[in-house]
Amino acid sequence: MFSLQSITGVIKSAFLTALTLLLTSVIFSGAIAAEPVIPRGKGEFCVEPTDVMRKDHMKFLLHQRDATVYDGVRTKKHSLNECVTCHVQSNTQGDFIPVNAPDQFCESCHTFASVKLDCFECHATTPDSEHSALRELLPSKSMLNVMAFRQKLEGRSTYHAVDDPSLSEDLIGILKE
Amino acid sequence: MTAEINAKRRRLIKGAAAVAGLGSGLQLVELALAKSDEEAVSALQRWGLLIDSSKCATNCTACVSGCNEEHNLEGFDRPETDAQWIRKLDLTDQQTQHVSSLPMLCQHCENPPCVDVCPTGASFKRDDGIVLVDKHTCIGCRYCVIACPYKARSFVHESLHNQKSYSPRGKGTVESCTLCVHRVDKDLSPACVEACNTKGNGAMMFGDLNDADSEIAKQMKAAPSRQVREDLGLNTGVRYQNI
Ligand code: HEC
Ligand code: HEC
Ligand code: HEC
Repeated sequence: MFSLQSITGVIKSAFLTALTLLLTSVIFSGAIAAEPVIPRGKGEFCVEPTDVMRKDHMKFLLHQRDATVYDGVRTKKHSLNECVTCHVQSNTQGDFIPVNAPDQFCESCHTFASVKLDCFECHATTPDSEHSALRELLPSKSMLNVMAFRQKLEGRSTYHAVDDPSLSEDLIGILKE
Repeated sequence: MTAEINAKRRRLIKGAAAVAGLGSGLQLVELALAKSDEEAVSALQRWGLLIDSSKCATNCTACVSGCNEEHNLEGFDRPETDAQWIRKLDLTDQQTQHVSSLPMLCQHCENPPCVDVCPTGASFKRDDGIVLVDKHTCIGCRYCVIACPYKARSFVHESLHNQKSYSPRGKGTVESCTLCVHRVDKDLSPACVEACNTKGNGAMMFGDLNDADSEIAKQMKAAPSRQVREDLGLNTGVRYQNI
């Protein structure tokens, strides 16, 4: 004869096992779905060693934030704008994709880690077109135009983009400097 | 201490450059004056504006457009609530009907009421006299908007897009003229002053009120200027002539 107690015991443990299985599967499928995509930044290195950046990037940013806002310190190394310049991706047309878009550098990792940022409510998510680092690092559509335009200024005949409306006045300005 | 030495050094180099020659002197002065990126701002400077109302034309809004473009202050066609960092005022003398015009903006007070009332310390005065909002700690309560006698502050009511990288702005925080800190830190003058000089009538001058050799300090010494609501004793960094 089973005692009443042992029967409840069996039922209880079966229930717990089922619950644990259910929970694990939920957690696992969640993790697999949200696996972060981490595209490489531009250039060879980040502004600090990569393992340090993974762990401590927010410390650098928050320190830089106060140094800039209160003391007018404008160093580039830990500036948020510079992160964006190096970590922004371009689509096939050469247009920037905002760094906080779901599958982009900052956001995919944060989604995975359940971190929510408000930074990009205010901060630009793509570099300004006249950004200095742009010229060296990002051969985007406008840069291709710039290269073509430079050839034209130098009297070569390979220029095709002259009637391209995307060639903005400030880019022409940069070249004439 | 280093800030003091640097400021002195800058002034010395500036003097040397002025002596060095006229042809290339101008560029030398600009280079020598530049604050290095690592250097913190210091109370040895006090940035300010001198505005000559007699040169400011009633129909000219070059400074306003200059500011709106620089900071991308595009409106939502709702003048009551759209952000406005600088605006034009026309003043009519009731007796003579003479109309004078002037731009009104944050007056960068030495004793700013907006700073006094801020419950989080987000409203603050930088060491070099520029009054700012630290939007990272602003909770959007708008006490400062009410406290400002010049109605110089705006509240951002709506989500924004396409902000400039050097001028972050966002919903739920207060903002006002920053005297273009991002430009001042690179030894450029504010966008409104540049616009007034290139597209307007050259009514605005920017400079260091503490530097007796600066053009703005010399002008202020030579001719009378006024503070708007000087009865409040705020010691404004923005002064007006001919009003
Ligand atoms: C409500 C608007 C707002 C939000 C939200 C915001 N910032 Fe800022 N941030 C600003 C403003 C305004 C400045 C001053 C810009 C200047 O003076 O050039 C600034 C400056 C900075 C700077 C120095 C400039 C630079 O590009 O390096 C850093 C770093 C920074 N913020 C980091 C952050 C981080 C990290 C977050 C999110 C945790 C954040 N900010 C959220 C408005 C905001
Ligand atoms: C000069 C371009 C450049 C700048 C500026 C830059 N990064 Fe990087 N970043 C890189 C490169 C390249 C890598 C990849 C390095 C590697 O694979 O070892 C990287 C890697 C990282 C990683 C690690 C990603 C991973 O693989 O796990 C983080 C996090 C990161 N950056 C954050 C930032 C932040 C935050 C800023 C701004 C403070 C910033 N980066 C500025 C180029 C840059
Ligand atoms: C390799 C993954 C990874 C990448 C890539 C990454 N982050 Fe993070 N970030 C994290 C993690 C994890 C945290 C939370 C750490 C914690 O809470 O201790 C975090 C936290 C932050 C915080 C602090 C948030 C807060 O509210 O305190 C900021 C700011 C931040 N990240 C900015 C950025 C920016 C900007 C980028 C893109 C340039 C970026 N991160 C890219 C993993 C990443």
